[in-house]
Amino acid sequence: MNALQGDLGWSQVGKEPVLKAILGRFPYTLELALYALFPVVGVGIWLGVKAAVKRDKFLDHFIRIVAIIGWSFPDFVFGLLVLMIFYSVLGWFPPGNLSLWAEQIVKSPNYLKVTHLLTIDALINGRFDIFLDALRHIVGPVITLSFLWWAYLLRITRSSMLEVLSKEYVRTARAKGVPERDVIHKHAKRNAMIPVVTVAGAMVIGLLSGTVIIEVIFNRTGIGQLAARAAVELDYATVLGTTLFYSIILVLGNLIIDILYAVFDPRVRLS
Amino acid sequence: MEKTPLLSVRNLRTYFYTEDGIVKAVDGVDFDVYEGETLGIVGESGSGKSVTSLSIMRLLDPKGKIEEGSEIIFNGKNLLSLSEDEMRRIRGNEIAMIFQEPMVALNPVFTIGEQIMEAILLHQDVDRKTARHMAIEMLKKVGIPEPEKRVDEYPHELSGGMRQRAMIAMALSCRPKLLIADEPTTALDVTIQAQILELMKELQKEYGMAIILITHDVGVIAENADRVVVMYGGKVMESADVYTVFKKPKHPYTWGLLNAIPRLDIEQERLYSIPGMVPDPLHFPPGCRFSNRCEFKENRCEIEMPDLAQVEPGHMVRCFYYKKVENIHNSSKVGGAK
Amino acid sequence: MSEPKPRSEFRRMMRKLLRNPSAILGFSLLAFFVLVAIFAPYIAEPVNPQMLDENGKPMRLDNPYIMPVITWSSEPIPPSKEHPFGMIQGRDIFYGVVWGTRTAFYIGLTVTLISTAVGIVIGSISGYYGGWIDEILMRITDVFLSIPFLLAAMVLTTILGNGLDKVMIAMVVFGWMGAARLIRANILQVKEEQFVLAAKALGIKDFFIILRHILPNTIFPVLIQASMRMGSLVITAAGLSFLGLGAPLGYADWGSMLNFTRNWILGTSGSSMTYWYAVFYPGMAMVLFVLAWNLVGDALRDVFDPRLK
Ligand SMILES: Nc1ncnc2c1ncn2[C@@H]1O[C@H](COP(=O)(O)OP(=O)(O)O)[C@@H](O)[C@H]1O
Ligand code: SF4
Ligand SMILES: [Mg+2]
Repeated sequence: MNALQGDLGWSQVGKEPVLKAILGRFPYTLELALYALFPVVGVGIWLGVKAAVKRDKFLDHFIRIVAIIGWSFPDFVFGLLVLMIFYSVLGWFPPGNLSLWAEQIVKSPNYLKVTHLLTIDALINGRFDIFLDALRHIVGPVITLSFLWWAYLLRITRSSMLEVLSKEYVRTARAKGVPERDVIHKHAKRNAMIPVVTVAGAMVIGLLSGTVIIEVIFNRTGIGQLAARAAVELDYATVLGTTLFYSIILVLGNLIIDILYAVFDPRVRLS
Repeated sequence: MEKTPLLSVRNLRTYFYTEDGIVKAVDGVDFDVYEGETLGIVGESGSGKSVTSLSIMRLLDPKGKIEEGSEIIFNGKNLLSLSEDEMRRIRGNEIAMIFQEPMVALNPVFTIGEQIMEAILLHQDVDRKTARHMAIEMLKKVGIPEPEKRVDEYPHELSGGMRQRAMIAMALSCRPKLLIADEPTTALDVTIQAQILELMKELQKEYGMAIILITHDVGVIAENADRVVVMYGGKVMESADVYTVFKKPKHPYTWGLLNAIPRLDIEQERLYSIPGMVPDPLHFPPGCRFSNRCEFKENRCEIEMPDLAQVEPGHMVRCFYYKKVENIHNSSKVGGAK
Repeated sequence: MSEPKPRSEFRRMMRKLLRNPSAILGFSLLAFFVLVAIFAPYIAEPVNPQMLDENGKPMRLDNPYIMPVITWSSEPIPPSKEHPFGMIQGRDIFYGVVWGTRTAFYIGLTVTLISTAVGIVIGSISGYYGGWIDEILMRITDVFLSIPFLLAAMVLTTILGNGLDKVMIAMVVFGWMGAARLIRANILQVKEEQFVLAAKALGIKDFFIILRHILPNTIFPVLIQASMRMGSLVITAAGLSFLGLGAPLGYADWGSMLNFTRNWILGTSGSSMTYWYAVFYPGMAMVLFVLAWNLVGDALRDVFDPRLK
């Protein structure tokens, strides 16, 4: 009952009400997921189409092998490697949200917080230095999070594309004299995206769960890290609260997917 | 008959190089198509009809290769020596094709109009507005009611017959010289079948195009073709004008196909059908490819492959013992004509 | 076009499997891990060199899965002759990697077996009875499928308490849905094909007849699915251990060994690969283990069920 009124109890780990702890940390997680989404979708679909078109050729085998290796990397192993190489060795992408100096500025009262996303707010405030600093901190987690999921999307895209390429309407297009490039990118790809959209739900789940471990590794204070710490300390209210929150996001995500589905498939649009 | 043909297929051999071996789907096919006529290609399913038509369009799977020595001469050009780009400009423009399943042959995510316009815009120098206008005209021509409305509908909003009409509209939108129709009515109801075939005949008269009508349905051939090629096991077994094929077939396979009357020697309700099945191309019998099912075969048939030979002007038969079939015609009226 | 005989069909598939390079790589890797797991006591003797018995020999460990602390310096120590993978938190990484193989097999196989069995039971009931029972069970399946797995496991472990067994319970509870759906679909198909007439009056005997019909057809898809899941199961279990929810500190488990490492890496910056071995060896063990299962699952799927591609 209390939960329905937005009262999720007291968070021991956050030392504040659970809802407040979640809402305060959510922008960090959202920013990470958003940045990861683009490379995942872009690279995954692009390579999946390439592999399908070059079926059983060298490129296809190569892409598939890289994908299966990528898919076999536990996110925390990959994250630790990224941290070791880009932070310990190269010193480029440090863990955390921001450097100390930037953190102080961001916390100051006259720093505008519009979106609560670090990079966007920095641009709004015209602080390009803070923007770069925030970017430096988010690159590592983004690489890690996207690395797992482009492989997944690639596989789905490839098999969906292979199926569509064997369809009769693709042959009809060729019989009309449509150039091969358009056959693939216009006729086949539009259809191949329909099943890809259906797995987007699984992907959203994956991206969200992925943030838990990745935020822990990169010391990013999002809700994933909150949930992980709460679980270790058996802070029941916080774990339940965050899971509830994730589930709500999932429902919203599925709603968006349903809409996308209708965009891609006219047969759904009608009914 | 001394016109030059619009299309001549000579010694066409199309093999698929699969993991299980070389599939000789088409293995030496010859025929001509003249301007304005309808050539029927008939044969049981699996005899190589579709592969023949896809070879003409050069739309085979990557595994399929048209072997050296094959020739496909269209309008004086050997299609097999054209570049992919030159070939692309012929497809949909000078040679168009329609397929068996109108349910799956149209792209589900584009409207009928978009799909017809695409063909027009590819091959003709017109703007989108004109193309749309032409697409609506085409839809009207193939007998689709309310074409201005239908042009913006998706394939799933049309019935099977309407889709096949839309396919025909798309195929004919650039006024091809040759239309290849691969089982165009097999998936449709009988009444709609007749309508579609009638429509094709009308449009053929209007446009003066040649049609290759591919089907396993002997009846469809009888009513629509001018000349007939009978295929079996990737080879032409018999070819002649439609009257000759139906009244005086000389090949045992053709005789079997036409022989849809109850057998007298066995008490049987069902219509006669050729015993056995089409052999798959990996396991053709040695010698004549029909020898494992042929009622007229002799020892020689299992050793040697007969040639396609001219038995009378314009009538080709691939059989050592075609005279036996001839004799049946003479002695009784059991086989053949209906 | 005669029906291919099942036996020769099977042999043809085996031949195809053996011609598939990734299948060979996968099976070899798997064989290697099996050997390491079997011979773990000989590869890394379960003794504590710090504690000697009356004969002056190192004492055998009571529980070989608890890595012995052999030095009191907790900082990682680079590889040396005695400790080829180096040491972390006073424990030998080589020892942990070797015995961790057993832990990985133990978790993976147990969870896969039990969750598949649960899935088969639920799927059979659902497909066999149909109607509202099917409706309810499939709704439940959908709900379970829509919960993020890692989070669900976290919730359950906070309820049950931390520990490897709790993690495994959580993974069974949230891991049976795939098998259930597969079995159900197959039962429905068989029902439609052969039992349409008898479907009204099926007794318990018929239930077993259905199962007998289905299992031979379904066993490969289920196996393929299970082997494909092994990898992600092991990753999830290790992830939970990495977060500190699974195996206790010092347990021979790849995930919890990496948990040690993380703090040391966070502590260094802009200098060197100081602690590379502490990530590399346990990390590679995990990657190769998961890769082996994924390769095998992928190859099996390609060969036995091209539809699933
Ligand atoms: N892509 C392909 N790969 C391998 N074999 C094929 C392929 N396409 C057709 N075939 C084989 O070629 C033979 C002839 O097929 P097809 O031309 O489709 O027959 P039809 O159209 O007369 O029914 C069949 O035995 C078929 O198995
Ligand atoms: S050659 Fe022999 S087997 Fe072939 S069709 Fe003629 S009689 Fe029959
Ligand atoms: Mg065909």
